[in-house]
Amino acid sequence: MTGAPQVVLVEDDAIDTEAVRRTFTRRKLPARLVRFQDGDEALAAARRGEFERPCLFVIDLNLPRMPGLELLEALDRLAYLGDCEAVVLTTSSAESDRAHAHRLGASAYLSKSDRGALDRLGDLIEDFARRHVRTT
Amino acid sequence: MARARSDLFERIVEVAPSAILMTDGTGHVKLVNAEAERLFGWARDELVGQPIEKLVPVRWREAHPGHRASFMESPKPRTIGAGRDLFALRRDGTEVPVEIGLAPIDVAGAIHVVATVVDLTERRLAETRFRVAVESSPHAIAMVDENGIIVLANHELERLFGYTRSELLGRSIDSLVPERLRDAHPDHRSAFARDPRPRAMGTGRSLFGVRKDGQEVPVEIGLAPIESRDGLLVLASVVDITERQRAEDRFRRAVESAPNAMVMVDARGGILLANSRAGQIFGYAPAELIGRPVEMLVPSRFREAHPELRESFYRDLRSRPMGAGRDLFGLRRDGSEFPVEIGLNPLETPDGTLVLASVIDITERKRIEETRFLTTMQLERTNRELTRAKRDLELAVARLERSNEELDEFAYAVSHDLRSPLRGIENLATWITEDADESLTGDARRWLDLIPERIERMDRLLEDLLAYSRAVRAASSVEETDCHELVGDVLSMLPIPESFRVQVAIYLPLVKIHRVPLERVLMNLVDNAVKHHDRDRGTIEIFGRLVDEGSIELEVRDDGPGIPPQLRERCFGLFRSMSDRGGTGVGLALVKRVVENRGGSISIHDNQPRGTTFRLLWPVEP
Repeated sequence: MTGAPQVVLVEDDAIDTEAVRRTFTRRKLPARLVRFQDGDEALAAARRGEFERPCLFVIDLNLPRMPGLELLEALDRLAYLGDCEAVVLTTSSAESDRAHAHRLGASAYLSKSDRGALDRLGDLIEDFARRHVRTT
Repeated sequence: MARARSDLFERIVEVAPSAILMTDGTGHVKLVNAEAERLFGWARDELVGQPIEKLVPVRWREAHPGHRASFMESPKPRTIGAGRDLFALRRDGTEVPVEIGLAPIDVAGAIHVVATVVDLTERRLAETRFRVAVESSPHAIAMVDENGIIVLANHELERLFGYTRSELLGRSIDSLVPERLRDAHPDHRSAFARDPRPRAMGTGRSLFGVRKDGQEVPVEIGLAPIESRDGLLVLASVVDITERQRAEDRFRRAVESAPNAMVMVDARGGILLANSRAGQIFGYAPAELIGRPVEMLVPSRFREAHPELRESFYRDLRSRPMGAGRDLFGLRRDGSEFPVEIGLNPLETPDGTLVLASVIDITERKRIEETRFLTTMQLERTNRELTRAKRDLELAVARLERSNEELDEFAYAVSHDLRSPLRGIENLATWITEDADESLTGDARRWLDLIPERIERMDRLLEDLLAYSRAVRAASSVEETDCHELVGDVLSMLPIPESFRVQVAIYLPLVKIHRVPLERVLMNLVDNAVKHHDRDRGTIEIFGRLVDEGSIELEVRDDGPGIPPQLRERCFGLFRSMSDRGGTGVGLALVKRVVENRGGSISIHDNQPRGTTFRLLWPVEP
């Protein structure tokens, strides 16, 4: 079965979620979007092994219950970040958050307040999809 | 009867305590009493019938009959040997000093002579002892008889008056008195004779003696009466006080020339000496103080206790300040008082222990102390006020800094956090436009179309606000800067239209400055000059010079519309854009903030013939 790779969005904000969705639609991204509203939910799914591997995590840092950075750390411990990739999409522009995210294995850090953030996210997803076209 | 009287007479003679002999007219011994036997050493019968010359020393024996003959010529009682040395010869050949009284006596019609012989050995011995004592006295001593004739003089007297002893003996004591006093001297002598008791001569007066060479010598004289058989003798002991007076003079001169007031007081509190300074501070002539009680210089309220205090000083004689710890005051003649400090020094003198008091008028010192005290109080108060003011100021500055920081944080948070909801609104507006498509009415579409422009504007505002709040947060380092190059960099980074001419005139050496913020400031100023120009073509001048070691001056001049003087201060305020040419009004506020944060200043002036000059003073770092 041939299929687009999976993009796991962990985002509580409806508008931001819609913005990502529309980016998918507008750019006809070759990927399937799965969305979780908070970190706990996403982590539970990860534990259950519900995610395809490799997949691309798009994580907001400012999440209810489990903050994004903790989720990243947990995913790393579950060895997801060996083959999966993670991108941070956040309102935080704190340098410490950025550095922390990179240390935990995030490959990109996008600021929501930047106009071009969604385009850049689209590029990253496109690139990821090209590298991981499912051929089974 | 005669027989009986003769016996009685003989018995009386026999027991008389003096040696008695009787000779006849030819000088042969007729009678000898027991005392005569004892004195001469001969037995009675060895003498009776012998010539009296047997008892006369050989050297005088030959002349003796002549003396006898002359007595017999006019036989009257008399004494021989008075005033000159007379000796009798004893059996053993020794001589004995004697005084002899001779009296004629008629025995059965024939003149006989009764000689009473007194042994002067003891008296002579006493006299000798007296002379030796007088001679060895360290004082000059004269013994004078009733007529003022010197009968005894010692070596010291010779030395003191310059006469030899033989010149002195027999001379009138009056001749040793200076001529001016000489006439009165016999009266003084008589006065002494009337009341003869040991005393000092001329108490209280200065006495002088006159030497053989006419020179006068200050002396002190003690007188003592000696009753003698020759009448009243007076022993005068004369002390040369030249040295003592010289020492006293030296002392007086030292006291006089002392810088302090000095008062010498005796044990009874009488003033013996006061120097001019003492007179001066108490308002008297020094002579007016002499002999007066020292209490006259003490304020009346302390006067009663003063004698007791004086006595307590005598009980513990040592140099010390008077009234330790207490404030002391002196009393002037006019009744006014003044603060004093007094040092007390005991002084051993021939006249007893005296006290030399050194008095310092400390009015001036007290005044200075008072002034200093007041000044110190004033200073302390001022200091306290200053400290308080400083603390208030520091608090205010700290509050201001904190509130500035809070403001910065606020501006930063606001500008940052407002952006993401703004992004959301932008998204929503876009989606409505996309999704509604043709279903929107004309007006709704028009209003919707206005949203992006407002969002754009708000974005710019937030961005500038962010820049403003970050402006002074940015770390900066001092760099050695070529300002011509710096201006070149600024110009290259700005989109300056072809129609604008830029002239650069920088007269500056390499300077150590905070380069990055200056670059930012210049960029803003040049950008403003272009953006706010009211014509298509324009000229911008950038000028630089060194003001002094501490700062450089940079001017950015344009030939734009200019800024009216009354708006110049306002245009540095936040959100005070003067035109609608796309500025948010943050630029100049940011410029001013950066300039002042670095210790510089900026001002707006007219440019000629039109336009604005921004004059910037930027500090040079050491």
